[in-house]
Amino acid sequence: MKSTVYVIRNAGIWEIRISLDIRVDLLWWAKVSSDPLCRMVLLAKDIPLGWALKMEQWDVQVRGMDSWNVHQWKQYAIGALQEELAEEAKFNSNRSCISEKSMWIWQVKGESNVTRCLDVHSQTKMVQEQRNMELGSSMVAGELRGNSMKGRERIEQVNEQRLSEEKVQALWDSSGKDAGRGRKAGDLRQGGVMQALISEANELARVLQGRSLLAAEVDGLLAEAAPSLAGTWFTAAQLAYLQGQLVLGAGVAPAASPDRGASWQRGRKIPRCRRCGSVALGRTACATCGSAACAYCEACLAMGRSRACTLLLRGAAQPAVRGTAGGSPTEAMGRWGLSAAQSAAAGAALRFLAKPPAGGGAMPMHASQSRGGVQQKAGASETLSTSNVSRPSPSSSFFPNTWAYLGRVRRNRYVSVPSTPDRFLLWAVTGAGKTEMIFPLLASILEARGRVLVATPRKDVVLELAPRLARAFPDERIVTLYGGSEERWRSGTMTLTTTHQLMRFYQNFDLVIIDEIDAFPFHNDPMLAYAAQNACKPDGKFVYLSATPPHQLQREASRGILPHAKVPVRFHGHPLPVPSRLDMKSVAHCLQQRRIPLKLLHNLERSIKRGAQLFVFVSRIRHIEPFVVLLRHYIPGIRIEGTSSVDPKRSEKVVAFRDTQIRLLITTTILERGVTVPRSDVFILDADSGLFDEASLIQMAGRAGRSKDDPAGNVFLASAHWTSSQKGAISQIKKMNRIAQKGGYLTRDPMNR
Amino acid sequence: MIWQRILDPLHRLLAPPVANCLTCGRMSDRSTQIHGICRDCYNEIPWIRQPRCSTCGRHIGCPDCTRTGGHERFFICNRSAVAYSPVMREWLGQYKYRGNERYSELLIMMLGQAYAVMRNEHRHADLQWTIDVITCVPVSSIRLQERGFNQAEVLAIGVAGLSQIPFRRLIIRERHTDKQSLKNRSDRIRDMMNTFEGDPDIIDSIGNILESRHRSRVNSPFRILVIDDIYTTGSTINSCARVLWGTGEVLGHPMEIYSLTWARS
Repeated sequence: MKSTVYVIRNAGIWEIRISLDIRVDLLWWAKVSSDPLCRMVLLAKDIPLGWALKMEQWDVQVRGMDSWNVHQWKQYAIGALQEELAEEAKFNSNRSCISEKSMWIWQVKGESNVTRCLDVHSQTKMVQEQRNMELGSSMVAGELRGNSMKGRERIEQVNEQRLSEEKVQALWDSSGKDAGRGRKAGDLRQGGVMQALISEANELARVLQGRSLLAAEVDGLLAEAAPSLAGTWFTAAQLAYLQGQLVLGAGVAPAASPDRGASWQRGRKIPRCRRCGSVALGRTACATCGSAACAYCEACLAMGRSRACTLLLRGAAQPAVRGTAGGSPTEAMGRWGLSAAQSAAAGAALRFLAKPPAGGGAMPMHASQSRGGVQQKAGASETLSTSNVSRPSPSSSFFPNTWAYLGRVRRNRYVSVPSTPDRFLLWAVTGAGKTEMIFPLLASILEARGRVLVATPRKDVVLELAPRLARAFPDERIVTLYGGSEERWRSGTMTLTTTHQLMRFYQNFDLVIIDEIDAFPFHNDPMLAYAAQNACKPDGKFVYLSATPPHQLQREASRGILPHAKVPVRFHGHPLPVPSRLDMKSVAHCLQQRRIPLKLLHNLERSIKRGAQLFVFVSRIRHIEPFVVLLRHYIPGIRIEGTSSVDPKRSEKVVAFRDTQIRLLITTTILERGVTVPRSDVFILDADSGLFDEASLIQMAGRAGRSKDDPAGNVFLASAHWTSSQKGAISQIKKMNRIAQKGGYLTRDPMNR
Repeated sequence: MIWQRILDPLHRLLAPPVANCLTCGRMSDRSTQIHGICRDCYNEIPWIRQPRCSTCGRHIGCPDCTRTGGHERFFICNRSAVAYSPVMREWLGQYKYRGNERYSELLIMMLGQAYAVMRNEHRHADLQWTIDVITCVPVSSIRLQERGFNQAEVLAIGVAGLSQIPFRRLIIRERHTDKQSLKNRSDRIRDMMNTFEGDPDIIDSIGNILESRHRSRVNSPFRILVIDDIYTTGSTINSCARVLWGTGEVLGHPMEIYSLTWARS
């Protein structure tokens, strides 16, 4: 969109400001300014928003500005926009949005010094009249050359002033009926209209609190939350912006890239999408702003186009609340029904929440603190937010609290004392009851009247968690968000969302819990990491949940940089089943030969005989159908089915599998997480496939032995080769069992395999 | 970590140049016919190679053009590059509504192929057949503000570049209509009347091109190619053609108007 840009002289300093509705600014500065020489110069009525925002950041101090005329201001403006105009020229567009015709200089008559101003004004008026008379007489004399150069200047000045006043007057007159698209019609100078506008601005700020939305999304939000504002909210937004309740930005803006590259490259700013953090590569001619090189972001197109000229509105940042420490672990056990291991971990997390934030930032600057190999762009959010964030000193995070290493109580051994926490890792094995463990954390923040967010990677997990949370917190307003959710614009104290929806929030939450941090798509997508980062208040807290955290986090945890808590045992107190190895040719080989090796067949039959459900994981979707046919041939008498992500009947088959109507289900990694089927055994075929990494193997193995009645499910890794991921998976499972044994969490002797 | 920083660029140097297919996102074999998409996606394209209806270019039997008592038709014929299958609908949606302007290159190339086919088809009858000027269906200023670009214009300028024929804006959209995609057939036809109008500058423009034509073609009709993204009922293109026809009458020179659209729905 196009916006207006003006320069204001206030308290002796000149500042450049943007405006969505210049009438508001005219009235605002009249009320607020105490500078008798306060003046407003309209630089451009309609320039691309991105340019205007860039100019706003400029430090404006040139001597003699006080007495500049329109032409000089125009030169200054063109100078400020050198880069942008050069870009335009590259695309062969010579349109210049800065013309003297639309510029004006306005003496702001502040209300606080009305009388003084009037005096000044009347004085200048008298002087002007004198000059007019002088000029008049010299004109009568018929000579306008020579020393009347000065006279001509005076004439110009007077003319200019008159022209400016006419233009401003015209502005007021025309805005009575129609002030332009998106602006409120009516004469704002009237008291009634102004009052209405003030309340509109407050309403807008309230509705936008904690959100970060593009202009089109604001339309959607207002249509639902405040219909009276829809279509005319620019004016209210401008007022809220001047008051400091809203932050205006552009969807895509240049940001310096911090660490990478040589020092001379760092100065160059590349356009980045403010919403999703990715580099905005697309450049195109845009009719909305008139620029021929308007950058737009391709990564987050699915959520509406974020362009250099799209307005991005954010509510002003609010300080975070601190969680209550929640009392002793036994209390947590009692209220939420947690096991010993769970409540110990929850207790550590609660202590983490209760600590004041160290260093003030949820934005790690240091490369080693990046999660999952993602670089965080520190500068990106700083230019938009008004808060001053101080950076955490790297040195303090490197030295773990030495007290933690000495004199450890046995139970606290696997719970580290936090050093500079913003993040906390809850490393809970599969089936440990992660969801129940976060209930005390949510409760502690909610009791302190804060806002919490639970983010999961997939929509079906959201739909599964929502009723459980609703049951546990009947008094709280829970908002569930996912692509296509109807609660898109509602706000509540607890938000449950998929990770993409995080892009619509900005510094809104005191506690952000990210579930399955290693799962697709969060792990691979820096965009989502950026969104999660920005959704949390700068002094808020992150809690990560996973059974298989990414290696980076595991390393940080073991070095003591990342505060964490391990829950090494399942809820029913039995150890994790350790997988055993089956040496077998690849599935493709079997399909080609149309034979199933005897070893595999024997184990399958044994599992069936013991009455278990069988998960059979394969690596490729195209293997499923032929394998189903093959197995049916070998094992008649039970119902065998196959499913995958492209299977439309997947949910029905899973339900049937859970009900034991289907005894053997052949599937891909789509079912590796989140599925609980009692009394099951797991067979992982092609376990040496590159598609099965260590985390994936652990998750798949975790499908077995989940219920109390059958805690010792069998897990088989069938492959032609013994790979490091398989080794790693088995070693991690054994390690967790050892930790559980030493921690005394196991209710029974572990069965050593 | 540092090790990765050194190895990654090296790996990229040594690896064969693969890039993601624009439409399906997979890193598979690139198509040799059209730049930017993979072979599988190229094979999925429902090209209209043999139009069954010589008027509107439909690939199946056409009840519209055989209907009697319909509105007068001001254009000679329409040809379309592809049939508007669900996959094509997705592609156009990505470009037009989502705003992913990478698709413009792809669509322009497809239109370029269709133009070549159209030209060859007409050269069978008349060896000298050639288009004099390319224009497009305009979009209202409100829609232009909202979307930021006129997709038909981008396509038209692209085709003009490919075929070395000049592009001019010859039609103005006077009335803003609601999105055609939300209306039924009779509404579309009715609303399209009186939406476009001519312009004195346009008459000059056409006059200039007329004069700059080669001497040998002084008596041949003036041929205009109008480009749009979809042809559904033909009401849009017919309205534009009517305006252009009027201009032709003012100039007193015979005029032929052809339509080239990316998809035929």
